[in-house]
Amino acid sequence: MRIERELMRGAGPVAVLKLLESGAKYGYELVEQLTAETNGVLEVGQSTLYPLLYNLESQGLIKPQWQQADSGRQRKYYSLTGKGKKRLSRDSKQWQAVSEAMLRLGVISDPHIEPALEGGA
Amino acid sequence: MTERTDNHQSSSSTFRRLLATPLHRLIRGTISDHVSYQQVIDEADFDPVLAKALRLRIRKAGRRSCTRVELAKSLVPICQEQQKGGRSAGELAAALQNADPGPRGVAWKTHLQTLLESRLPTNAFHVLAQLTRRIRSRPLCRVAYDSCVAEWSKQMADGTEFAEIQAAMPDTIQLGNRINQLHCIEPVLMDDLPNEVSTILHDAVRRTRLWRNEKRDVAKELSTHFSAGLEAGASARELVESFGDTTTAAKLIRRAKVRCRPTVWWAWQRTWQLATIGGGLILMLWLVLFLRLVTASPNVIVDYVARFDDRQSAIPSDDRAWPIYREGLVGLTKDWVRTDFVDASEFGRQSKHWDTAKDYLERNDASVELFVQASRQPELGFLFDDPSNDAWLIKDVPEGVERSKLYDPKNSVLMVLLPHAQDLRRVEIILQAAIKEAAARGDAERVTELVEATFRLSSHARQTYDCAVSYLVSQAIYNSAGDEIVRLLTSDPGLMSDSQLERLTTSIKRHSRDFVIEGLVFDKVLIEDTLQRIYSDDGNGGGRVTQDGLRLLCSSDFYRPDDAAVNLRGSLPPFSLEDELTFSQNAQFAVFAPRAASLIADRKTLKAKMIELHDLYVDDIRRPYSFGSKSKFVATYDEIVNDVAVRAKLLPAVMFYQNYYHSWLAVTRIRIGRAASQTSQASWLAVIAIERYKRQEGEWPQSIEALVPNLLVEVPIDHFDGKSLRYRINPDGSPFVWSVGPDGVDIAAEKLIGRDDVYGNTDPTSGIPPGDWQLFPAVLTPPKQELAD
Repeated sequence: MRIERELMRGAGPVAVLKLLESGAKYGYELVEQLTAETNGVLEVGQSTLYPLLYNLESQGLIKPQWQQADSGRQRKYYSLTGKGKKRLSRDSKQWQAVSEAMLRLGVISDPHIEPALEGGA
Repeated sequence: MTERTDNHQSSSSTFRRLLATPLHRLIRGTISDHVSYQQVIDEADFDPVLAKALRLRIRKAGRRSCTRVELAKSLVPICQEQQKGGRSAGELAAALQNADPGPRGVAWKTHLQTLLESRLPTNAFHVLAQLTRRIRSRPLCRVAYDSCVAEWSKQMADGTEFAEIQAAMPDTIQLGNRINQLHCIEPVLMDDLPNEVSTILHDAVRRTRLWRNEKRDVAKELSTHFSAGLEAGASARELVESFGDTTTAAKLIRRAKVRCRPTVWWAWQRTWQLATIGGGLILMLWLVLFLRLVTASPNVIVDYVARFDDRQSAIPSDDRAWPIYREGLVGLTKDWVRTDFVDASEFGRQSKHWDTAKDYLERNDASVELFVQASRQPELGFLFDDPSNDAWLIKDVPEGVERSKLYDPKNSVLMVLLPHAQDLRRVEIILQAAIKEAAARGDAERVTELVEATFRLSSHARQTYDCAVSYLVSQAIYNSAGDEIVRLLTSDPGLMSDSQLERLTTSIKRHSRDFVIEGLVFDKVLIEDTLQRIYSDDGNGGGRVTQDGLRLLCSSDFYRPDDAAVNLRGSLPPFSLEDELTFSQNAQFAVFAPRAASLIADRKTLKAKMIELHDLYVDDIRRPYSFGSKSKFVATYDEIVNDVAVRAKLLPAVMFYQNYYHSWLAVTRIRIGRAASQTSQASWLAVIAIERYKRQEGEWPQSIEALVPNLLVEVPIDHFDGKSLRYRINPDGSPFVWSVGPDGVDIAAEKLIGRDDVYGNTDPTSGIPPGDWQLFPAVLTPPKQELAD
């Protein structure tokens, strides 16, 4: 499923920040992980990912570093900064609040309680 | 001895080993066994030609012995292998000999290895040397070198001659430039990506229009991205498709990358943007103001000079005095020296110029007669636009000045020079001298006739034009005639009969005018004329400043760029309307005039302010004279002038009323002049009455009040303090009449001031002269200094 552009604009940065929380990653790795871990929902092309990374870099949320990969090739790894961690924490809470609100409104359904709801009905 | 030699040989050998050891091994603390490059070559047992070529080339290529050894160790096996492959020693030697010039950005070792291993002809390496010198990036030189060698070798292996390859490729300059364009995506080339990927990458990076180092960074990152994709098993086509639209990608990358630029760049960028926006706004504002200015033009509806001429034309020719005055003026001989004649006319025989003046009068007797005759005419009847004036105008025009410069009927009222007013003053001076001459002959009737003529002349002078200048000229002539009576009664009291004195009393009363009351009526006309020449007219009394109006202001005598009170903030040059403007003046005017015009108030506002100033001025000078009283006009004018914004807004009014503030039209000056004239007139009547009292009673009157009512209708008033004129009989028995003077303080004539002290005080800031003003007897001797003109 393709996500609306405006929605992606809000979800993309926080998704990237979340992926970087576990450690430094390079561009292709991020693309792969975003696709794999979101079942393709948050799949982004290079033309979207790199501007997104540069924007996060300009805000001081991530910092790049050229490093040699295991293959011997030079790659640009991005890692979270202190400011980035704070932003991720704040954004996560906000997304959590939005999700809960959507859940209560019935816009989304909780996969854990769905059977119970169905059973109760 | 032998021991020393052994030691020496040992130390020399160590030194050689040190030299032969590469630097990285020296750092690690190891020393190589010494082997010279020559030994390496010799051990290979090459043909002497090849061995020599190798030695020469290696010596040229490296300075350090370790480098040479390293080169020898790498080249010798290659040569051996090539020989095994069938290449002759001569062929290899020739290749080594033609290795110059070496390509840029490629190590000699690599170059020589390539030279020996590849089957490319020598000129192929010359082309490569030229090409690499065109490429700015050293790593790219290496890429280009390797690529070319590989490609050319492949093509030659397929049977293509190098000449054909060379003919098919662009020249080295073009090729070098193309490679330079790829400089920023050098990493892409280095990564050896498939063509379709590197093309899209190159396109996207080029479109970002980022700085070179930014492009390199982006290209490097994207190329590693694609490489990672290829390693992960994705095809080139899949990668290209997933990349998306290059234009959009480039736009987004640029936008994001620019945000990462340093604060200094952003500060400079914002400053530059603000400056550009500010400059643009100023330019637009200027353009609007410029269009506003150039699209407005003055609408001169009323020609006040022509209107005056129309009025004068209605006077019957037989009643006009001017043609007769003009005839007398044209007939005057040219040996007239004004300053000398003024002195002679005032002091008569006491003047050192009297004989010259008397001679002049004899020679110009006919003109004097014409002046007397003209004075009997009821009206002056002067016309500005009258061709009959040409002979008179041309007569006294200074050399090099055209008549049109003296008087042009199309000029504004402000520019009318009133040349005839000046000449009526000349007639007055000649008549005054003629009075002296007649008095010297004892011809009382002629004296009376000439004094009467002078009084009539003063009335004609008032008709020169409806303006303050005319009234002031008229008043000056009137005062001159009255003063002459006092001089005659001082120098020769018995000359004139009672009836002649009676005639003079009548003349004094008949030609008396309050010039302030009459003269200032015209100033409102002057305001209207000024406004119609400066502003456009919207038909409702409004309008805006025009180009012609600004030029008129700049050409005014009152426009002084160095005077803060009247300048257009120093922006416009002063010039004469008659002169062609220079290019720089025109440019300066075009640039600054729109702004200057925008600062000036609209027609309606300015007119209201000018009328307000006019009314204040008139109120001030019509009030009875009182020493030290404050002028509301001066206070209001000061307020305008001292506020920069208001001054600029009301500039035409500031310039117009500057004359009323500073010069002979200044409030204090006019008020003193008015009080002095009224006091003078009262004193002339009093002096004639005193003389007639003496004749009737045989003695001088004891008081001025004694003259009322038989000889005077009322007690003569000193207009400087509103009381009666001061009168006394001196210890020697002579009568003495005086005024308290402009300071209003009566000091019993202990200190006296003269007529010039009273009338000559043109600058209100210079202070009022203290002292009493002597009215009778008249001062008959000239001052020690020559009178100024």
